[in-house]
Amino acid sequence: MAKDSTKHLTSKLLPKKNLEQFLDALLKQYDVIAPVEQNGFSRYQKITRGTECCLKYRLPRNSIKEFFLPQDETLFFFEPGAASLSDAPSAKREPIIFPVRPCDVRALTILDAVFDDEQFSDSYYVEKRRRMRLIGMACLEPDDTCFCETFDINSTDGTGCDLFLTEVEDSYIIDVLTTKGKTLIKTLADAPQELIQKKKQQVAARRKSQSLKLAEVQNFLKQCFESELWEEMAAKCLSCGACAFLCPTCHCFDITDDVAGKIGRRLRSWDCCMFPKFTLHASGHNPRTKHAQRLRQRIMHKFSYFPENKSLIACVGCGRCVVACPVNLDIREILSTLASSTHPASP
Amino acid sequence: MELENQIEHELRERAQQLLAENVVDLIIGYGRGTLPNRVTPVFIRKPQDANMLVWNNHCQLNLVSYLQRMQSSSKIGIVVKGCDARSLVGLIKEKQISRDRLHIIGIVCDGILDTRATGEPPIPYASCQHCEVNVPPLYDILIGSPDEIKPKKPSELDAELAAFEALSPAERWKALEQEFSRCIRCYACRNACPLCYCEECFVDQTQPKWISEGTHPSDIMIYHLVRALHSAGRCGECGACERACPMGIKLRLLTQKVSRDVAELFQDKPGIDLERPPALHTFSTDDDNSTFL
Amino acid sequence: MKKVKPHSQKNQSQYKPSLARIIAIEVESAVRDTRTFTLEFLDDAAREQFQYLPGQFAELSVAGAGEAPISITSSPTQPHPEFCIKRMGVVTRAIHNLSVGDTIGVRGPYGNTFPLETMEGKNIIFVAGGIGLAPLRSLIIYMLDAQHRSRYKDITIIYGARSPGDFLFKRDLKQWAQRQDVTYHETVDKADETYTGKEGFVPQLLEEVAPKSANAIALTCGPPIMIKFVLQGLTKLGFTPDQIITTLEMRMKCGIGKCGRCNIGPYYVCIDGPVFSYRQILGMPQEY
Repeated sequence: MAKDSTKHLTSKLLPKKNLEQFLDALLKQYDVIAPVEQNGFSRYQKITRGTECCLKYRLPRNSIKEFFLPQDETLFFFEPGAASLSDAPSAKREPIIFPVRPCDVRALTILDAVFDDEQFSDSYYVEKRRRMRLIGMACLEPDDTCFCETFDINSTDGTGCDLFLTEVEDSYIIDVLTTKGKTLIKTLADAPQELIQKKKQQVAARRKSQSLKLAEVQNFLKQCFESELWEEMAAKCLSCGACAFLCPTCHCFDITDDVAGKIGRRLRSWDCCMFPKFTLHASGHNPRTKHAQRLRQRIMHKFSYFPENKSLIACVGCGRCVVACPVNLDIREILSTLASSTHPASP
Repeated sequence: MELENQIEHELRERAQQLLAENVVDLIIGYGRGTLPNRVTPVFIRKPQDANMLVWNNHCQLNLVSYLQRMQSSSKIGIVVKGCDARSLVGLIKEKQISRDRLHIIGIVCDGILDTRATGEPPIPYASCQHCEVNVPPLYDILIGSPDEIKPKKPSELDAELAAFEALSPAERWKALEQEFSRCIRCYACRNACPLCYCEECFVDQTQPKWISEGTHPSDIMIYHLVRALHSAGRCGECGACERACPMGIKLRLLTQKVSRDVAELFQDKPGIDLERPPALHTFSTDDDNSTFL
Repeated sequence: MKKVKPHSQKNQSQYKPSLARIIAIEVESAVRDTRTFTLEFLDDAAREQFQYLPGQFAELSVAGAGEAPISITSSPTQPHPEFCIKRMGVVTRAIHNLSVGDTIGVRGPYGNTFPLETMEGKNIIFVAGGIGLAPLRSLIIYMLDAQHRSRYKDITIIYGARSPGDFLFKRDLKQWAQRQDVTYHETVDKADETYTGKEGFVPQLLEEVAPKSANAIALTCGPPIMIKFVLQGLTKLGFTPDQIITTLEMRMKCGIGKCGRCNIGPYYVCIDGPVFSYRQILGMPQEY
C-alpha cells in the first residue's frame, strides 16, 4: 500500500515551536488524528486544535489500527423486514495520523496482508488505508517496554509513511517520502545541511530497543504446543481483552446485527481470542474453554500460524500489551520461557 | 530493616512453613514483575519457592479473583490486603468459596502507590488515600503492625469523588459519559473484580441480547451502570477494576459513589462483618425507600 | 482439498449479502426442528455469481438477527440452492420463523469443495449421522446426476439417525434405496413400533457393511462422537487417512479468512476447509 517511487525529494525543516501551527494548518483541510494527554498516558484521537497534540509519551496507549479497522464499524444499514440495504456514509475529509512510530507502520503491513490479500480484499479496510496519510516519527530512544528490534524494525526508517520526522535539537527534519506527503509541507523551508548531517549522526547513534532471541520462533513454538508451561503461564491471565484490543496487529472481529427502532445495521466489532465466547458454537460446544488454550492460541497465531501463512510475524514489539496487562503477563517473558524450554542448553 | 522488607521476610517464612507443614497446598501471592513498580501473581506449591513472594507498595492486584479458579487445591493460602479481604468476606458470604478451604494471610497495608501518577514523590491510589481498612477484617495470620499506620482523615472525601458528588445528576451523567468514552470493552475491570463471578455476564448473553457489540455510548454506559448496581452493597472498594483499566477510566467515581450511597442508606460497609448479610440481599420494613420511584 | 477460485469482487463489499426469496420450506424432522429452505436470488447478477460446488457453505442472514454459516445441501445440478437448517441459536431461530416469500441474505459461496477430481474412478462410501447428511447430500446428488455418475464407481451410503423421526431428506433416501447404482444402508439408534429397519449405531453398521478400502474414498459427517468411532472403524477396514474425508465446523463469521474465529493451527476452516482429509486433521491441533 501507499507505494510511491518518490525518493526523498528533499528534507524540510519544522521548528518545534511551529508544530502547533503546522497541525492547525493541516486541520483546515484534513481530519487530524494525534495523541492527546489522558491521565498519565496519551491516546490517539481526532483533534480540533494543534495544542491538543501531546508528544510527552512515545507511544499512545491505543494503536492506530482503529482508524483502519474501527472497533465499531457499520457494514451497511437495513430496515428490518424491508428488502434493501444501504451503505454507511464515508467521511468527507481525508485523515492524517501524526505521529506514527515505525512499529505501528509495520503493523499496518501485517494488517494489509490480512485485509488486502489476493483472495479476498476487504473494501472497508482498503478504502480507509488508501485515504490515510501517515506522518511518521523516528524513535531515537526506545522505552523499556519496546522490543521492535526483535523484528528487525528500524525505528529511524520512514518506509510506509508519507512524511517522516526526526527530532534534531529544537527542530524536526522532515523527509518527504511520497507525493501525497509533499502536498502537506508546501510552506516549509528546506532543512539546512548542517542539521541534516546532525540527523544522520543521531540516526547512526540511535539506541536500539531490546532484541529478544527468537531464532526460529515458528519452529520452537510448534514443539511447545503440548507444553505444560501454557497452564503455568496462563494461571494468572484474566482472559480480558486488554492485550488484544491495544495490540496494533490483533484483528479478530465479530459481525452482528444492531437494531435501534426502525433502523438496523450490520456491525463489525473487535473480538478477541482471549474471550471464552469467541469460539463458542451455537450448539454449546466450545473448542477452547481453558485460559491456557486461549493464551496459546494468541501466541501461536502471532508467532507460528500467521508467519506460516503470510511469512510475517504478527507482532511488532510495541510493548503496549506489556504496559497494559493488568496482571503483568508479559509477552516477552512468555516467549523467552518457551524458547528456553526447547533449548535448555542455550544461555 | 524497613517495614516493607520485614513484612516480606515474615511473609516468606510463614508461607514456607505453611507449605512445609501441609497446612495449605497452594499459596497465592505477589511475585516480582517484569517492570519496575509492577508485581505479578504467583502460585506457590513448594516450600522452597516461598522466597518468590514479595511485598511492597506496588502490590495493587486483588488476588481473591483467582480463588474460584483453583478448584484442584484443597486448602489455599492467600495473601490479602484489607480491601482484598473485604471482597473475600463477600465471596464467603455469597457461598462462592468455603472458609474452611482458606488460610488467609492478612497484611497490614498503608496504601498502594499509583503507578500512573508521574509526579514526585509517588502518591497512593485515590482509593487508598482515604482507606480505613488497613487491617484485613478476616485473617488466619496477620503480618505487619497496625500501630505503624499513620491515621487517615476519614471524614475527608477523595477530592475527585467529592467534585463528582457535587455535580447535578445531568452533569454527573455527562462526566460519566466522558470517562466511558475511552472504554474499549476489554472487560479487564470485570475480570479483575473478585465479585464479578457470574458464569455468564449479561453482556455476553445472546438470548436475550441486552446490549450490542459496538461502542455506542448507551451500550457502554449500560454495561458499567449494571455492573455498578450489581456490585452495590457487595463492592469492597479495593479499586482493582480501576487499576486494571488500560484506558485509565476512573471507575471509582461510579463504584465508590454507589458504596457511599449504600453506606448512607443502609448503614452498611460491605465485607467487614462475616455474619451480616449484604445490604441488598435483605429487606426490612425500616429500610430507606426514598430511592424507589 | 480443492481451493475454489474466488469471484472477482475487488471493489465490492464482501460483507453485503445478496438477497434471495424463500420459495419452499420442507420440514425435514419435526423432532429435531430441522427444515430445508429453497432459495431464489432476487436479481440475476447474484444468481450468476453464486456458482458453487459440493462442500461449500454460505453465510445466511436475517436482517436484525445476524448471520450464520450454513452448508449448501443442494447440488449445483439442481435449479435452486437449498439449505438444511436446524434450529439452534439466534440466527437459525430467526430463519425458522420465516415463511415462503420472505427474503433472506446470502453471502458466498465460501470454503473449499469435496475433492471431486481425486474421487473420480473410485468407489465412494458416505457415512453420515443426523444432520451430517446435509453437506454430503450435495455431493451425493451431484455424483448421481446423469452427467457425473459415470465418473464414479460404486456408491455406498450408510446413514443413521437417533430415531426414525430424525431421518432427513426422506424423499432422497427413498430414491437412493431404490436406485440400482447405489447401495443404501440405514440405521436408527433407537427404533419405535413403526420402524422395521436396523437398530444400532452408525459405526456398528459400518462394521457390518465393511466396505473395501481398495480404490475407495470414504466421506463422513455427523456428530463428533460418531465421527470419532467411524474414523476408527474406517482405519480398521484399511482406509488410510488420505482416503477419509470429513468436514469441520467452527464458529465462522466472515467466511473469508479475516475474522480469526475459525482458525485452527495454520488453517482457517472458512477458506482452507470446511472439507479436510483425515490426514490434515491428524496434523492439526485438536481445537475443533
